[in-house]
Amino acid sequence: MKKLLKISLGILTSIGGFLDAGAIATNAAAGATFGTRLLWVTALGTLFIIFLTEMSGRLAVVSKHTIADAIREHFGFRYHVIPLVAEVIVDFFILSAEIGGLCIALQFVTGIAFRWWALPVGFFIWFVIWIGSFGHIEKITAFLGLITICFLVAAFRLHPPLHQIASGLMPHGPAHDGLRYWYVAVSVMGGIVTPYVLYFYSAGAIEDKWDMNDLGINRGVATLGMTFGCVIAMAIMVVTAGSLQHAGISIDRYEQAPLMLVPIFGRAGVLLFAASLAICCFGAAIEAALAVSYVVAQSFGWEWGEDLPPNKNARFASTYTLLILLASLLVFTGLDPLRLTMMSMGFAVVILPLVVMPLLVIMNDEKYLKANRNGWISNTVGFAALIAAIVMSVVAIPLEILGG
Amino acid sequence: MNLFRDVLDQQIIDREQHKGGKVDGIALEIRTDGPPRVAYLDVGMDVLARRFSSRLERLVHEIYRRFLRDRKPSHVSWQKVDRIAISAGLDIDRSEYSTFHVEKWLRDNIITKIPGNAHKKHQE
Repeated sequence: MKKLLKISLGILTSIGGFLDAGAIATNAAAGATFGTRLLWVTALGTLFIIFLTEMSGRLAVVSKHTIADAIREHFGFRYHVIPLVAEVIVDFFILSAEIGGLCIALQFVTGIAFRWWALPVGFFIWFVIWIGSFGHIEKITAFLGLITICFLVAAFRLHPPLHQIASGLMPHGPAHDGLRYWYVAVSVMGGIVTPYVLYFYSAGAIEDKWDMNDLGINRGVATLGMTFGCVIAMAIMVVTAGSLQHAGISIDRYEQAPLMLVPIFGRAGVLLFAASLAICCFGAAIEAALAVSYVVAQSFGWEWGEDLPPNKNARFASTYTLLILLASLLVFTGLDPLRLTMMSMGFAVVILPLVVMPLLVIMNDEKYLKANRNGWISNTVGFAALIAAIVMSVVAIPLEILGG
Repeated sequence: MNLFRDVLDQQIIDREQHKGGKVDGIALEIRTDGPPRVAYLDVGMDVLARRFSSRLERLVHEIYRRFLRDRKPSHVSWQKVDRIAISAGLDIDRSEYSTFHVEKWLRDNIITKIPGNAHKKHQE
């Protein structure tokens, strides 16, 4: 019974970790421009993130090392400093994007311009991390995240043509706007396979005190949680395809996105979209901010843990405090949050190989994993993810310039 | 034991099971009457910086000098190392060596000035 509770909580939390400003914006943009043709990218990205999170959890459970611990120990600090610096910079932009998304949601509801929300929202996120425990945060984001089921309801109500969905799940090239197609495809992938999720998950396994008996829970949470998140992300794409693409509306600004739910729910659609966006961004902002504190603290061996009061891990608490302040200030400058989101997803893709490559090496090392090393299935999918990550990291910036 | 593989860059755990930095450097002692032996483990940002360049090390020293006047040396004598397993366990309190001074400085000057800093978080 306790196990079941653990799994369901983990699954719900993963939905929160999976669906963030990036996943919502990229899947909505994909649906509005290319209908359901990019569904296969969401599916492939989900397959990758399932295996990669399972590996990060297994590493933490078996070796008691988080990803950052293991990379530094195994590859030495001179290598580790590269993914470390890259991760901190990219997560700073992702955190800004999530704060921006939350502010935009508040703008939808109140009519007050998003930038005025930046500092109060930043303060609220910081406050929750400052006084909350890991368990609190897990539960809050998990249960509030259920509101995103509205996208699934909307997708069913639209009665989308099933043959189109089926053909969208088959990988294929673009029918028109080649550069734009691949640009959106890479952004969708970046919105799903984000490195901070891996760092957060491996630290979370230790925060939740998982032991060898929890390897099954780890597998269940990674698989089911990410799959549920994927279903919602696909629903977003299907809904935007049905409601926006048909109306000829593409998503260039956040203001256009809530329109996707209006044909189905009427005025309430705007509120539902705003609530979903706000909650996903809230959860993701907390995870991204904590991920940076985790990575930095673990890289230098500082005391870390969300369950300790801040005066027991001053450097850990200072890190997220400073990061949230800076990210809120960036949003306050009035930078367009949608552009910020798409940009940070592009950056996330660029640095992905820096963590996937060492993770795969470590997952095959007997010293860390003992009898629980990667099997051939994990290695095959992991290797495919690495190849995809390398290709994407090379093409992401040129595509962003040419296709975005 | 392989110093590079098993000791360098390992997590340090002190006597109280607190985290006390990573093994940022290892100092060997060259002896005339025998093979070299490990003198001490080195901990600190300056030691890490030294692994990149001496200029970077000087920069870190400069920052340390400005903010942390009462800085103690960052050496942990090899005799104080209890065990090398998942982490390097030390028979020493982490506040006895330097790396903890940044933590202390931040705690005393910033963190404890913010309300709620000692809030005991609810455990399940």
